[in-house]
Amino acid sequence: MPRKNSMLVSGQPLTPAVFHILLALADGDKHGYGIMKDVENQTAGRLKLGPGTLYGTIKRLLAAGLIVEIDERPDPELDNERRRYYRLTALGRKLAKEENQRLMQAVKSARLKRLSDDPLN
Amino acid sequence: MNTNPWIELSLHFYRQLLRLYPQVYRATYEMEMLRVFKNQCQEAYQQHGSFGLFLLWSRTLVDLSVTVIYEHLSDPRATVGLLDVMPNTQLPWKGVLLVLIPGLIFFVSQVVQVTSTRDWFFLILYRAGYFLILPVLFVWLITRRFPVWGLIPFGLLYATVWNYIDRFNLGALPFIGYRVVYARVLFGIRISVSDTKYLLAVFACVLLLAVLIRHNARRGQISRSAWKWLGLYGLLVVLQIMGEAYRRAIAYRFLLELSQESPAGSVLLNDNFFGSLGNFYDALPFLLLIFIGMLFARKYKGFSFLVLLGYLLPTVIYGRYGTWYEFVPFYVVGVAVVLYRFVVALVAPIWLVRTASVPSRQRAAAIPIAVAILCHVSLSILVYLGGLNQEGLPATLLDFAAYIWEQLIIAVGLGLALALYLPREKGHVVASATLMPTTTNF
Repeated sequence: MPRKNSMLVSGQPLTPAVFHILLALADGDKHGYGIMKDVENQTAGRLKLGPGTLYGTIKRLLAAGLIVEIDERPDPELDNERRRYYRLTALGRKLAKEENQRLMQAVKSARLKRLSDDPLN
Repeated sequence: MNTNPWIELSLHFYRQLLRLYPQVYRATYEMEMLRVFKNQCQEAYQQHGSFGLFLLWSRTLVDLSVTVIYEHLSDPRATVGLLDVMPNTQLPWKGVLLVLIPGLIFFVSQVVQVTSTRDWFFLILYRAGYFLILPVLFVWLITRRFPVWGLIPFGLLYATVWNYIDRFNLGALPFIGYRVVYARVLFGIRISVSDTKYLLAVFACVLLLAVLIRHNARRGQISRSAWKWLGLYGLLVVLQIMGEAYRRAIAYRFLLELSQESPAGSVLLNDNFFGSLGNFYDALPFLLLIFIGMLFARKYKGFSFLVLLGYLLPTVIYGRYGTWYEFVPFYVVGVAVVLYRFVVALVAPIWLVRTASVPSRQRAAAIPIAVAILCHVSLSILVYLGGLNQEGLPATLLDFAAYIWEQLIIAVGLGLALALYLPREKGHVVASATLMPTTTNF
């Protein structure tokens, strides 16, 4: 039953897991655990991905061409295990930017409606 | 690295749990997931000790439960055999499980019930019947295709819902005050309109049936042979109602005499003539289900017979080993029940989906049910010889005939189903002789 994941196309909102994984790879290639820690840091520990969610999402991102697996090791000295590293593709970056725009727009709307706790607002 | 025994134990268990993922997924990500989990364990232990590991496990188990199911359903290879069956090939274990789990539950519950004389069977019938459809609906939701293996739980759900309507008198809700309306008609029998509980359900059933028959007839889906089976079915039901009315009239007269001697007998007088119309309540839903099976027959053809097997699954074959059956040796009832459950719930579905040709599929549908019904007929004979009927009154030949007649109606229904589901295969029409009657109480 191979069917295209309708959540991973341009114009559609991304799930938190997908968005934060793309975000984690935006500043460089990472392996699974590196992505997991980055997501945890991004969200101040609010989003903790389990291995199942992490690799399930990675599998779908690979299939959708949003990330690719790379052979090279960013720092072989620090990585003595044969981990898989992932890199954001141009398409993945485009989708992450779109999602970022969407979220910024949502925040802007929230501010206009005085839903933001931002004291500057 | 870390040789903490708790971490080692956690890794060992997690490695075993990873086997739950699909094979292809595991081949790609198993080592990676294990490494990540190892890192998580080390970090959790460093920060919070054993309690940290406990927290990690609580998160991980939820994550694993959800993602295992998702990966199985989203993996292309995982659904092979789950949505469609491939005769003469290796049995797809996921599809087999989907159909065998309801069968196994009923099989075990029946054995427990018979051996303990408790009501486990009925508890399962009225409670679990609803939930067994859930895995099927879940597959349907994810894949957007109804799995052929889900036809048995579908039939089971249908039977359960229908029994619920009867049990909780749901059909009577619109008839306020029905308990106070009485009349006297044939044979001086007291008629209670309490049996209106059947009316709404029967009315809805007839309406749906008419729509389905008309729809299929317009599409040319009902063969000449199927019309004959349908006519025969209707005739048998009408005769059954007439016969039941006559049987009840005799029973009434007997009870009337009994009531003069025993006050308890008068209570039984409420078992009235209208009750004979209750036969509609059994015969109509089975007929309706046969035509509902037509909705699946366009895609699955003879496999639609699985719906009927699911419907027959919860039928009662001396499910309650009551006091009036105690003269039948216990082991006879036990063996009959086990055999019946084994055949209807486990053997017949597997046989049906393993066969490829139309004749062998017809055999696969007819023969196991014929074997199963032999159990019921044998027990009916024993009960008759034992001398009491279901009401605990002296059994007559009429009581015995009523049992057999009921089985005959189901047999004709099965003939109709095969004529509808496998209509265009000339030279392979199932003879009525091969379709033995099936279970009791529909």
